[in-house]
Amino acid sequence: MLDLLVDGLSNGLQLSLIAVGMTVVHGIAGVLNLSHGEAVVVATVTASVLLSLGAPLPLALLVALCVTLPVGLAVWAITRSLSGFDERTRGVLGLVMTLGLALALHGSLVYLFPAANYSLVLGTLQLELGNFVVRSSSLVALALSAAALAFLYLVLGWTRFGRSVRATFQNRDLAEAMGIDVERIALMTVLLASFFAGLSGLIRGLTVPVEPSRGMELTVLSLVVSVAGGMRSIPGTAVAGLVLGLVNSFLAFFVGTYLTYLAVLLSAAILLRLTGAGRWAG
Amino acid sequence: MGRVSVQAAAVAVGTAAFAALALLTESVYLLRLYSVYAFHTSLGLAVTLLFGVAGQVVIFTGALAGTSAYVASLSSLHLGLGHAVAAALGIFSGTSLGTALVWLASRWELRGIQVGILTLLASLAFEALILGNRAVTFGEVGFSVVDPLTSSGLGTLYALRAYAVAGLLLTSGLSLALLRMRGGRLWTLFRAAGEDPDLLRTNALDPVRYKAIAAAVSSAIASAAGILYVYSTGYVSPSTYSVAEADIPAYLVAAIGGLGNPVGALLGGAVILALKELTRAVGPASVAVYGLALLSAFAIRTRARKGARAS
Repeated sequence: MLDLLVDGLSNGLQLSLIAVGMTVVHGIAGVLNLSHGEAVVVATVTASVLLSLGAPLPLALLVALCVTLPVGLAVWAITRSLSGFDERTRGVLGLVMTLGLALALHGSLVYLFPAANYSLVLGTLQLELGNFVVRSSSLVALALSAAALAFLYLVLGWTRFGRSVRATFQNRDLAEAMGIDVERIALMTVLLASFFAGLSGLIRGLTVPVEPSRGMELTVLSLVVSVAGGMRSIPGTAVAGLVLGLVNSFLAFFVGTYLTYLAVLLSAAILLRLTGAGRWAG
Repeated sequence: MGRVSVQAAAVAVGTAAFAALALLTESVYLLRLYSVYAFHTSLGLAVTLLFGVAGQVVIFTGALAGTSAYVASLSSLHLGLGHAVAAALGIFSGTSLGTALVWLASRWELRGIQVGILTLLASLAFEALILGNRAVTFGEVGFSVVDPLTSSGLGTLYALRAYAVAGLLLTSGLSLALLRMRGGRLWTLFRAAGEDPDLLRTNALDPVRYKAIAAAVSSAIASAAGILYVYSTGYVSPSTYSVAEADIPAYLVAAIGGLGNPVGALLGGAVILALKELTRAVGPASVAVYGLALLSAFAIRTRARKGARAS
């Protein structure tokens, strides 16, 4: 049971990392990035393949994180091409275009990396804590996820860049009037979101094998977290990710992954209704 | 002769020529291409109406075709229903589901992005339900379907010809019907419901009603295409109706043909058919090609729209 709790917390923090990126990009650019989950998979698959080819671990991780940046650049190019349109048009066109990008990445991944799954399992050491047994990789993933989320929180909450992001997030026009270069902030934010999605993919690869075709599932999960967090709240998104990770972990254990997946889809639909139209762009 | 009449005449002549070719050819491969064309073009027309005109981002068109195909095939297989009743039940199921979903989204006052997400979730749920209930649906493998024409004693080649012509008539008939609708009152109301619902409300008209009517017509088109495709290919499997294999090509058909342009969708369908055949050899990478094509088509449209606004 403790193993489930650790896995749930770790999974939840990883979802938070992905979803915060999705929330911030939506807040700043008015585009809901449906290719976000693919960046997670790109990082895991790249690192796993490089490790299997004999690359040193730090190099494999660094390259994997760098590979997510072109994905971010592509998303930024989409958001930039939609600037000047009204909120609704930008939202709708952005949704369709990022879906196209997601499929382009999905098809390429499945074609280029046909193996069933990829992981970064570095060892299967098990730790005994009283009556419970916990995998060391789960604890490492939990610690890394917590550290990454804390770092992201510090960046967004306490730096000049973070203040600019929040200002643009809350009112783009006013931020621009106050001298903030909103285009540069948008670019950096999208790249930061991709970077953290990639980081989450690497952490995820420590505990579970990642299939190249699972990008859309991760996008949907982070979408659920973003919606549950209110779409406009970064702390709300982080908390929602944690809750969903725990619920997901326990539900999958007791009722199976199939019903858990359906429950997640249903809860996402209900959350859409509950959060209402007011908080959304587009 | 007005522009609409020229377009209608071109569609009629093209349909007659391709129908004649279908009746003369003995190539099974060519006749199967007609079915693929009819399927994707019909879904593209459904998207053109709902997205291009009524402004509803619905990523559920493939699942609607799949719902109708599965309901018809499974009710024949498990319940022993006749083909006509099973097909009617399939079309009714798909149409009701699509209408209900858009009606619900409109009643909840969901906005563009949210409708897109809701329908994407519904598509994923459809896929999960098909894959998760193997005992009934045979999971990802799918199953063979006995079609009404060959089961009534018609030879395979004649049945394929009949389905090819039926597909052509369905797509060109729908295209002409929508072309006739364009510029009419209902078309304008569909457009207003998507672009400016408040305008309708100030004129004592209910936007939810017009979005639901557009969804009903669009879902009926997708459902009919699903049934025709399953009978013409004699097989039903979930991958045919997935977002990648059905919805993305449908959006491509609509984007290439010009959003809201029913005649353009006929040409968009031809482009998709060519794309499908050209990428057949690369297997899963074809999904990447569709994705890139969708991205490029919308990027070009977006740039053109910006240019038009600037000038």
